Amino acid sequence: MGRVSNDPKVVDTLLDIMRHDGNAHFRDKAACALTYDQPYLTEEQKVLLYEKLIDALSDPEPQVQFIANLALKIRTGQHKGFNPLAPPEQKRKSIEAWKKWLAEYRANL
Amino acid sequence: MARRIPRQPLAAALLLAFSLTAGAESPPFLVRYSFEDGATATGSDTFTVFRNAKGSVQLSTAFHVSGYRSLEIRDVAGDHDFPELQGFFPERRDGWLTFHFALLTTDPRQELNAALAGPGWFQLGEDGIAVWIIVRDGVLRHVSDSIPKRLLPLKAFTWYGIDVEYDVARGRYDLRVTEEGNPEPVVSLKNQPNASSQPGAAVNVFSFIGDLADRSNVVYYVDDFVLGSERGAKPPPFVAPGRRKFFVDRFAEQASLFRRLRQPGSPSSCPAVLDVAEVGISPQEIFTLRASNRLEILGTLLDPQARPSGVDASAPPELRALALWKAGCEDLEAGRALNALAAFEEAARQEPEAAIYGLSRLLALVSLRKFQEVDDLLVDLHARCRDDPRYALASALAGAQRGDLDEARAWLDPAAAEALRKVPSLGRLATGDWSEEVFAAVRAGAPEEWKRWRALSLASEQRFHLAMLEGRTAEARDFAIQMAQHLKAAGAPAGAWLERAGDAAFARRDLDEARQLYGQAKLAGAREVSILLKLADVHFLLGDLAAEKALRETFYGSLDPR
Repeated sequence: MGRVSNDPKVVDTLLDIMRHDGNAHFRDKAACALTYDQPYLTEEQKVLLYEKLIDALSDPEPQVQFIANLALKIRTGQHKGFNPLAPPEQKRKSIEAWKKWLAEYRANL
Repeated sequence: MARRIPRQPLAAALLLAFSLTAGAESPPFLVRYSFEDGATATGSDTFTVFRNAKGSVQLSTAFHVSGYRSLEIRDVAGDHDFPELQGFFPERRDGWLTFHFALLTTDPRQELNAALAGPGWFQLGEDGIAVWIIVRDGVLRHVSDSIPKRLLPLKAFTWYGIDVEYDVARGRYDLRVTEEGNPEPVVSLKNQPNASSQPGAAVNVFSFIGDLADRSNVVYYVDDFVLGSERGAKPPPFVAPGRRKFFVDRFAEQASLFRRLRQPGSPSSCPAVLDVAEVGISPQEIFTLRASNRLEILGTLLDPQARPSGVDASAPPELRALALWKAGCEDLEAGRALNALAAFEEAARQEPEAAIYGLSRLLALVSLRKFQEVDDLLVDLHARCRDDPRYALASALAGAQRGDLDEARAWLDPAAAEALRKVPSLGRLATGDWSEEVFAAVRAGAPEEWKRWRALSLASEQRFHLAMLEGRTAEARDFAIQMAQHLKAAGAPAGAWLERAGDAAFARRDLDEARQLYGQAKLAGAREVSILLKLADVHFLLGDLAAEKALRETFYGSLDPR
């Protein structure tokens, strides 16, 4: 679905499934699609995607944190020290690092 | 930047990814091309040109910085492919890497990409892209810390010099950009994180392309490409354009190993892994292993100096099979061939496509002198491994232990000629086609005798391999020629034996004879790609560089204008 269209609606739908679907398997599949099936997003679209993946690192559902972290790692090659099992303070620092990174990314558009 | 080529250089690159040649000294000068005469040889150790679809990669006199030519790369949007100049160099995991090239684009709005990457290939992540330069939407960018960062707006038809000094271990680089006609750098950045901020990421491949998204109509020029670890060093020698090693030299390496293994009391050992595909691991699986933090385990299992180590039950099957193989290798070297065989068989059962497990089984069976099973496995592996010197080594070891290879001469008897005429499929068997289709035809045509013909086919190859690895190359050549003559007289295909005769002549450096034999082999139906590359080597050594170039470029592509 994603590969044939970089329509923001596709990305938004996948992000919504990744975060809110009741089935963990579907959440995982949506994260996979966001990771592997969106190779040709514009830089602006990537920023939107990264923003929402970074936001998902704070999701109350641990599995969502895990798959968002993995998607970010595969897309950027980095994890900024984020570990879904780490104490909240450590996770907060990682998320701050991601937000700083995103701001720099956006500034280079 | 995303393309893989199924050839030895890639195998070597992947091999290097896991430090299998750790400690090997890298030459200080890695790659240098000014694209002038004599410096544009494509080949296994230089670069490969991909001009698929409508794009092109070729030399051009339209623009240049030094000399009179540069490299033109032309991409065409919507043609479902991209042109590429891609090349490998000795892997580096530490030290400094200097990277320079001059770049001119005719339209900075069109995307182009240049990158240095490692065995993780052209993606962001560990051992993936290290240095990534992009021109897009009129702006020169570099990808640092996973961010495509703006450097400066580019002017069309203007040369820019890009200089990178990369501290590989720290994963950081200094970047300098100069503009034609301006003595001062227009960009000068220090201590930039590499493409995905990965210290210690390995690098061993470079690539210049248009774009991956197939939206670019870029036409750009590259000149004075230099990649090195020290300034002012001299380039490493090539044995021929594009090649640091002749194919026969790979046999010579196996000959050395063969002599060692033939020493009384010398333990057997597993064949070297030359490509991770040989253990059943695809590039995609490497990516997955990296994502699950298992790349280091893979490296340890592939390191011939490392001790075997177990992997947890949740590890992917290819890694579990590899761990079994590794343990089997230790058993084989310790003389516990039965244990080794059991491990190799289980590894092969788990990963049937992994060629190295089959070759290792073969060596264990040879150690155990289980000749019937050796024969069966030699047949099974033949289609995949017949040109592999490691297969030849195992075949020769089996032949040497068996000691009854004179029976191979039965092919040369009049009775064999008669049988070849009666059962045409026997000719295909004798020439090395050991497919099930051929065996079925031989079984049908000679139901009483087919096992003998099968054994004779095996013996004939073993005899040739043994003579080659023992350095009796004249005997190997004579035997191959006799086989070819008898097959031809019986109306059977003789190309494969003529090619073998050519190999033996080449090993003797009897180049005129090798050239003639390869030529005859080609006419007699031997596999063309194999013959072309061997003939290219022969012509090079004979001094006929035009013929060498023409032959080589049929396989590796060319930079000459078309």
